[in-house]
Amino acid sequence: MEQDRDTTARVAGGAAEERAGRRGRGALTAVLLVLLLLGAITTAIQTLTLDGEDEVVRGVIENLECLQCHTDLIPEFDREVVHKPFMAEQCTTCHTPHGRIETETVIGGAVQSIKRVKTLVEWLPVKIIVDLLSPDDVTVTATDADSTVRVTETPVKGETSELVLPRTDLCMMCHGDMGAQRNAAYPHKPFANGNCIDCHDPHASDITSMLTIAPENLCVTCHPMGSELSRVQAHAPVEGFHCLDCHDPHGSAYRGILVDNQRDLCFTCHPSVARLSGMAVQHGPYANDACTDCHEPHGADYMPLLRAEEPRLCYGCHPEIETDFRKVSHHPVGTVTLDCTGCHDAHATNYAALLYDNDNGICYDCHARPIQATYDRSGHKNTPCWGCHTPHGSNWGPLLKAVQPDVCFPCHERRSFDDAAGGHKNHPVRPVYYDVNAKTRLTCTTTCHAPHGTSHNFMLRHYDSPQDGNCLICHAVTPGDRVGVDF
Amino acid sequence: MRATKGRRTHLIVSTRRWLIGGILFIAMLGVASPACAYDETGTGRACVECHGSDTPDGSESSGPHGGYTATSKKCATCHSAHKAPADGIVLLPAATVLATCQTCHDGTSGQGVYGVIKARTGVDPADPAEAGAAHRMLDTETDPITAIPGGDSTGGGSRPATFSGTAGGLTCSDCHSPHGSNVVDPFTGDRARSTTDTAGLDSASGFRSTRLLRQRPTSTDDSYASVTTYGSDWCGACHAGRLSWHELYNHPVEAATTYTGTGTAFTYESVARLTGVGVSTTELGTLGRNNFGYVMPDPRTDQQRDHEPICQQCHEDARHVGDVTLRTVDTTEVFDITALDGSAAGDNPRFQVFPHESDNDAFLIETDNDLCLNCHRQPSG
Repeated sequence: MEQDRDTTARVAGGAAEERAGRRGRGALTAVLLVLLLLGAITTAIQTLTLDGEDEVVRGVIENLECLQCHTDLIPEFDREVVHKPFMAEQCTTCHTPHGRIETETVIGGAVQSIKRVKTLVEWLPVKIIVDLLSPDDVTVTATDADSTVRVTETPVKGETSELVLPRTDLCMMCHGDMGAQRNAAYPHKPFANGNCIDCHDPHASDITSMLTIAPENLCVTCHPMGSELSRVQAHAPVEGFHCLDCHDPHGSAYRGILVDNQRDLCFTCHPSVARLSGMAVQHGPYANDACTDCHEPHGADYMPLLRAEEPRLCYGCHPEIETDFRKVSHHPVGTVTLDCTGCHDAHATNYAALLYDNDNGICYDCHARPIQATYDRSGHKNTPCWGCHTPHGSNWGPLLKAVQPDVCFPCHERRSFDDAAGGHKNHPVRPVYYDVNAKTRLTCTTTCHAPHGTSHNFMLRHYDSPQDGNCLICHAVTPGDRVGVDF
Repeated sequence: MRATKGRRTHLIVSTRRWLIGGILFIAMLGVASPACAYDETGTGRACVECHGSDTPDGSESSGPHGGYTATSKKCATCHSAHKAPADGIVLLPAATVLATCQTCHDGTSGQGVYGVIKARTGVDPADPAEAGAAHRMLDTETDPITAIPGGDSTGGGSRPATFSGTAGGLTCSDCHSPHGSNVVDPFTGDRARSTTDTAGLDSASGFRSTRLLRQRPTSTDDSYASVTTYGSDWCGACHAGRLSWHELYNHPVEAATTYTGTGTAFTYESVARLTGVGVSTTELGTLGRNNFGYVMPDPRTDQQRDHEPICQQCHEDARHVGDVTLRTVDTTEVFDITALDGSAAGDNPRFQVFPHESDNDAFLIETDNDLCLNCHRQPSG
């Protein structure tokens, strides 16, 4: 009976063991099913939220611990550009984990080791329990030469994470090659101040260079171009917000954080101006890399992107010429028909004073008729126009370098032609007399001579010398229309 | 008889003066000539460009003094628009009008005006010690002619005047217009001068010219009368006191301004003159280039009745006219010029330079009684 009881007991025991074995297999199966379900869900989430690239998956997995809370960052992995540390490393490349960092220093040595072992033995069960209750505790032990340091990090939810380095230096940790630009003569302030994230997203961006917003919108957030764009003419790169065509976003050796010196920078798009750089005479701003002395690089009210209208722009550096143009007789510069650049090239030419030509041709551009035809056959043909005329302004018309007849005397011996010279006696040529024919003050050219040449000898206006017609124009023996005392 | 003697004496004197004049002329070739604005040599310009050409009717070309057109080339003859001499006036070649005129009209070589008689005869008519007369015109700072003898129309004395010459004195251009402006009507003159008359010796009609005489003299005083016809009135514009023979003691003289007859007052171009040699009939004609107008037959002809002589019938170039008895002109007294510029001593008249200078005193055509008897009978008692 006892045997039966034993047998029964054994059978009952075997059944119980069998039931227990079945329950264990069932639990194991359930765990496996749960794991499979979690795997399926994870795969589904990955498929639905991520693009499925391995890099993205790897990034998520690498930072899974952080993303458990910072789920808002998960979509960042699907951006066009993902910061490499964010993608391929760990968040802790840049960020410290959450929590305070407590450091306990245990000085090495026999006594300390015994005390440590004793404490460990005494508090081992408690420690195991505590460790179970605080599974995230991480103990890092580093051993110096003669001491042992134990660091305990305790994550505390809600505490602000810190960067592993000060923000102004953090990016340089990897982008140290850009450090030189921080010391450039003309650094971009955000870059120089380490405010990289003013422009860049530290995690990911859909925009090149991980910019926070599209470049055509980024610069204007700090550098509004509205007023520039509202001007008559906007520089094409500005109009398209292609700021980086001209500017380096980090730093440059050139004023304006330009990517190159002004001449070379401008020449890249303006080869017609570049071609002039080989000419003998160059405008100061052009030669000295100061295109913006005259041109407004963003927008201007005066074509072509001039800082002011002509001739006001030129007067800024050439005030003495403005004075000339205010004289009684002056070239009609500033009118609708003529500007400084009508005669001068603003960049460079092969001729003095930046003129387009080195002979009378430049004058003939406007004065071909009626002057050129007669002048080039006259006795004055070897005298350049500026032998008698000043191009800008004069107190003596028409743009003469000196009052008539004095302007004639550098070439024509004064004593032979000036009635006031005290040498020979000469026909009056000074404007103290009245020219009854021309009805104006008398000079050499009012009635007798045409300095630009005529069809008559001695540049006489009306008749060949010595024909009396020259005299009779004024001295005609006609009552009421004669000049002189002896008719 | 007196006329014959006078003519013989004249021939002797003339021959002597001719020799002296010739010597002076040759001597002058070796001395510098006066400065001239125009040098005819080397210019390539023909004479006619300045002096014009003789016209078929014998009228005188104006030379550089007038006739200006747009294409004529005369002004530069006298004026230089540039490089005129430093001491010149109004772009002329000399410091005075007189000196300027003399650059062409210098008579010291026997041609021209002033100096002709001295050049031909050796006797300077301007010399008070010598016989003859000169219309003085110094045009100098010292002793300018600023008074007109007989210019006072009421008193007959001198009249102060301010002319256009140096220091207000008289100069050529006060009587002449060098530009031929506002001049008197042309009249026939005696002159036969080489500068203008190269073909004129045989021109029976003589030369009609204005002589560039102004209608009124140049003066700051505009009270001078303007006269368009050469004659007594022209002279009287200045010598007004000489025209007044009713109020003043002057020889009667006919002028339009004083004429009281019913006809037309005589002028130089219209006087009663004999119709020929030895006759006592008259005709109206010019006094110039004709000696028949210098005598009045007795009895007077109808054309002469109620008329008085004009100034020029007594005052003109010296000549020989008038039979002392018949008051006619014989064959030896006719107008006779055989050579230019007074170079022929026997020409009648020899010098045609009135009223600039004369070899007779007071510019009388004849002297002493010889002059008076051209019109007046010899006293019977």
